[in-house]
Amino acid sequence: MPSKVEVLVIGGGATGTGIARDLAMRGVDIVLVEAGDFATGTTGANHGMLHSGARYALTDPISAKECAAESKILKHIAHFCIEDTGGLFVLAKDDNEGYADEFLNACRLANIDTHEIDVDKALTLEPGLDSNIRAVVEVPDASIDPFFLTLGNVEAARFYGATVLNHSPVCGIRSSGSRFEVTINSGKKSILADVVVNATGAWAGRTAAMLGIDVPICMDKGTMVVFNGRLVNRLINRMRPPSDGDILVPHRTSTILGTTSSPGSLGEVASYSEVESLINEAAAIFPNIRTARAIRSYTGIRPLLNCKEMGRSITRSFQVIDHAYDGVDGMLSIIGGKLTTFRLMAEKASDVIMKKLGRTARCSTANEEIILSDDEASDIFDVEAMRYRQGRKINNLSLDMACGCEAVSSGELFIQASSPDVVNIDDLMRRTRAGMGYCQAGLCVLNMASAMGVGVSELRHYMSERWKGIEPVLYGEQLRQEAFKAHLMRVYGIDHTEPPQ
Amino acid sequence: MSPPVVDVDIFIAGGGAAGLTLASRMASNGYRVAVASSSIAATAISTGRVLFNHDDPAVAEWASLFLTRFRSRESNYDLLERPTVAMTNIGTPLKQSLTNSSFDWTLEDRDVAVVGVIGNNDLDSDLACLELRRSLGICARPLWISPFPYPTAANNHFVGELADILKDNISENTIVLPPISSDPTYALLTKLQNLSGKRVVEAATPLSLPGLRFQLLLEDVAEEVGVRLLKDRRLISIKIHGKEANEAVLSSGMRTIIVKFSALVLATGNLASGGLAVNGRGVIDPLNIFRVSSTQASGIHSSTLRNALSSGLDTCKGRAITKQGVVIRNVIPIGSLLKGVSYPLGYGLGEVMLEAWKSAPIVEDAL
Amino acid sequence: MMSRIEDGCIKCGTCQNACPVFRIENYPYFQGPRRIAVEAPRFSRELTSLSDSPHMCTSCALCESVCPSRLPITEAVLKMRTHYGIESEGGRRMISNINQYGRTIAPTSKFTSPVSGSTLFFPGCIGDARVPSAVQGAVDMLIALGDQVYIPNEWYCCGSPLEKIGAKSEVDRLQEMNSAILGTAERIVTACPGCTFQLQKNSNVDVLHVLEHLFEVITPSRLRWRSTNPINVALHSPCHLVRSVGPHTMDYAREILGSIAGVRVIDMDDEGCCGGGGGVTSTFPEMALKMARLRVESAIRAGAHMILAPCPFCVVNLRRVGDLEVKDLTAFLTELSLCR
Repeated sequence: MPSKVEVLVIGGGATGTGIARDLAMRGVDIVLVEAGDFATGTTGANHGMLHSGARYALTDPISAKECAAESKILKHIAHFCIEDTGGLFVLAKDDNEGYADEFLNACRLANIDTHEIDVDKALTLEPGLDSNIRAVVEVPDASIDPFFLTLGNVEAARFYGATVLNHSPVCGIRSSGSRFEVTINSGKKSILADVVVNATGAWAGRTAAMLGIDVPICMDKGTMVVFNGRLVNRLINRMRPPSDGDILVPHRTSTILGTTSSPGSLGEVASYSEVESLINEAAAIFPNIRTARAIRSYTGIRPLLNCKEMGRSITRSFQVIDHAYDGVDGMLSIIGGKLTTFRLMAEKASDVIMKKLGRTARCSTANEEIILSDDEASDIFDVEAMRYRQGRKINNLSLDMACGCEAVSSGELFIQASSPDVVNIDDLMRRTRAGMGYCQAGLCVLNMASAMGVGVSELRHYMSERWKGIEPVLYGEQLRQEAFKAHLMRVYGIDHTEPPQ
Repeated sequence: MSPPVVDVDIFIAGGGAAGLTLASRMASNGYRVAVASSSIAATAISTGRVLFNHDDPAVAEWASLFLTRFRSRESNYDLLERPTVAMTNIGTPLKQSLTNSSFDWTLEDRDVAVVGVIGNNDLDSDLACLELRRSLGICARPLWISPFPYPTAANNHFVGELADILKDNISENTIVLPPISSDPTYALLTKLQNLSGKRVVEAATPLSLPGLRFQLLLEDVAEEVGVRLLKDRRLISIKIHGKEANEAVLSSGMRTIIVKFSALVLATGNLASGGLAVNGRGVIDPLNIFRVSSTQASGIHSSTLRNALSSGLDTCKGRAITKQGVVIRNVIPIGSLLKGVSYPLGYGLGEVMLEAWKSAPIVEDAL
Repeated sequence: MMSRIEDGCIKCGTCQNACPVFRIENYPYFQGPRRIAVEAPRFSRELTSLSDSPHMCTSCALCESVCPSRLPITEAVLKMRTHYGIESEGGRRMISNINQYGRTIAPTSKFTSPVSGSTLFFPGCIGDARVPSAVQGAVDMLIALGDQVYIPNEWYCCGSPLEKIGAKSEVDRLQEMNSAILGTAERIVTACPGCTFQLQKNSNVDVLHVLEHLFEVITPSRLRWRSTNPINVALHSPCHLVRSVGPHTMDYAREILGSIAGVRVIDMDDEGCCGGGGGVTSTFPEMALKMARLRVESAIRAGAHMILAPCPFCVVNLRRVGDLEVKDLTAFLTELSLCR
């Protein structure tokens, strides 16, 4: 017997889980299905940046205003996964000076709290900046963790009664009468829904195609490089028209440099030359980036609707497509948008869905913390690290060191591994950050395997997936690290650079 | 004040498996040998397991010098007559990889208990048994023992306590333990075996104690046969005149020492132990004297990493070549400093030691 | 801002395994050298909870001596200390003494010594106040050996302990105060490894630990002692002597002791840091005592009648155990009969 719900959301990124939380809070009967794990598409490949809107102030004033308002809301409701570092816009030595005034003006118009500060003061705040910079503007940017944001949405949606399933790929959607029948897990299960929401991001075209609907998605690829440690204390933006290698984000124990923008496709990985060119660009405002230790790279796909205006020129605002116009009433696709505005997007989409359902409850997602965060500090480093990751601490866990880079205890690993959502080592990594540090799971992978109760073959698979992001940054200390890892893995009969089988 | 001078026939920079093997051989042949080492040798963070190719006659020669001396230290190392022949002690089961079927657990015993010590992350007995079941079909039982003062209690009392636990609670004939205690004494496991009456093997995990024990054994043997060990002394520079090196400068804390020699052996290891360094994507000689190149190699999929791992000092008839292309007749690189992929940390200690052993004639020729 | 220390680690764990504090204080209370020096500085808000760990380091530098990447771990640990700016009771006392006397401890001793000559003997604050026998013994011995040794009337702290607590301006001030006094000597000799290292950093003349002076300048052939009673001694290796001044010093010590009839140097089964350094004797006295006890017990097990240490910090801390006689190596040598 298929189960019956009002709304089925397909896609467990920030958008999908945001809609699930929103609708569940409005009392809607809802199921979310995600093919892989939460936040593994565009969401997880985000720069980790909570935009104040300044970056879009000149090119995209609508987005800028949205970001300005939404970032304030998120700093309140999602502070468990946000570090309010603040940000600087920096005019490089050879960049156009006229841009600074235009930029400040546009920020004012977009209602973004900005002010210019002395170059000397900026150099004290951020000693790594190029000493030849000419102007600096302070903005309220912040650093956000997209994984924990999404997991927070999932937890909140479940709290309000939603059913949220990962590792549940949709294999068919059928329109039957006024309802849809969606089959998941190779046909093992089907769900009847009044409304189906396609929140599959870069996969939106494929999902829509299951109902014969054409959603032409263009893929814009962005590559980012992760550096060990915090090179900067606050977000550093280059003050120029948005371009490659403009932004450094201090993100937990690392710094993320991004991004590129070029046509791409799903499953693409970064290349050494992309990494090189990002570093060359960033060196104009942050010269030490050349000697910093890159620990991995990753790429995200920005799904864009309007193919004629690829890349940065297009608005990064979002669209809610009602497929009633394609003759399929009750089906919506959500395309585009930014992590910073995910809540707003979810609200707009949910409003449309409520209308379709003929229901009237209002959105309340801006008024309530996504998860109740624990603000009571611990005097144990590992517990504090857990509190800042998970938003809360759990007492009486085994505090044996499981991942040194990220200060993850074996107790935290075991707690997370016991969740039914966690079926492989990658899932465990996303929920603990174990394996995300500079040794790139060289040692903690064994502890993760222990916590999962899986053996060498799963370990091998995980290492292979991990390798894709490491290969492009194989220079300097990371090359030494990987040589050392090759020795270690040899003990377990593993070539950690082998492609997944 | 001029720095103190050490005068030897053969000076070996690097005190890991390769350096100590050759040093011991040369010293037992009557040469004056000094070995300088700084920081930990890769041997000491390896699994301590040695895999020999028994067709190689050098194995017997090697054993005649080392093995009896190992045994006199209660370490129970032995040469094993198996298809994949290994030298091991009771401190290292034959294969580190529990999935590797060439270690025949069934020949040994089907009654295996894999003991986990709570608080010791080196061996997860549940996971080990899972792997043994899945890949080899062995009925191994996981057993967890609760932490007594561990891992800080490194003394005889600790061994006695552990032996009691094994004797009273575990009926299996073979017991696999994680590397126990922070004491690197190599006699500890022999003692444990005698006291418990069980056959005890220690899982060979890298970055753990078996490697450290093996390193200490090699150092002890080297000293016994007359090698002068200059520990914590780092090679800073080598003085070369024409086609010959005649002096090395070492740091000793804030001072320097001069070593005069007839032959210089470089055994400073590969990237893992600091004998080689990385510059961008390339591998270089940290002393910036010798030519580094890589060889065609296999065994690792990534070409960039393979290239780095197979990089090492270039040689001509066993002699090092400077960056300018001059063959230095009395500088002989050995061990994993040489080009070609070797994994002394996890796999290739045997090969490294045998090759080092066999380089003795080249050194004698250079004298 | 990042330095190489955080970037050079390949996670071999050797430092954690080698750390002597880690052998007696368990994780997570003590977080170990890798966490303090390499991993933790990568975090931000979490750092407020690192609490005591950086202050528990004895600055023995064993971690960096085993590190295959040769990272300056001790320096990074000290940097973390200053990051917290926690001033310990001991630290405050030290600075107040510096302001009052120019020494970390109020001067107490009067030495019998010439006040001018060619070889300046630098007593050092701890030697002066806590192990005066080592200072007097060294001077007496060097005079007996025909050396033109002297102790100047005025001298000030070398600055080494202040560097450990991050009091940079005091270090500079003391260096300035000492410069005229030390500048006239042909050579400087001390019995304290910390003074040797610190003074040598800023000196153009040789600053030698007394062991180096005996062995390299006076030369072993002139050193012929005899012990009237046979004695077993355990030789403790002071961390700051072995790893800051250099491991050759202990070779010298062994060679000197080995040549003395009646003295047998016995091997201890467990060697390591005595807990006397890094300021932990004042911040974590119990821990420092536990570490000292391990050393003393090891010496007793080995059948030693006495522990010899060529460092006043080690002598002071090892003596706190009380179960075995502890002597400064120089003082011990002085008490033997010198055959000329």
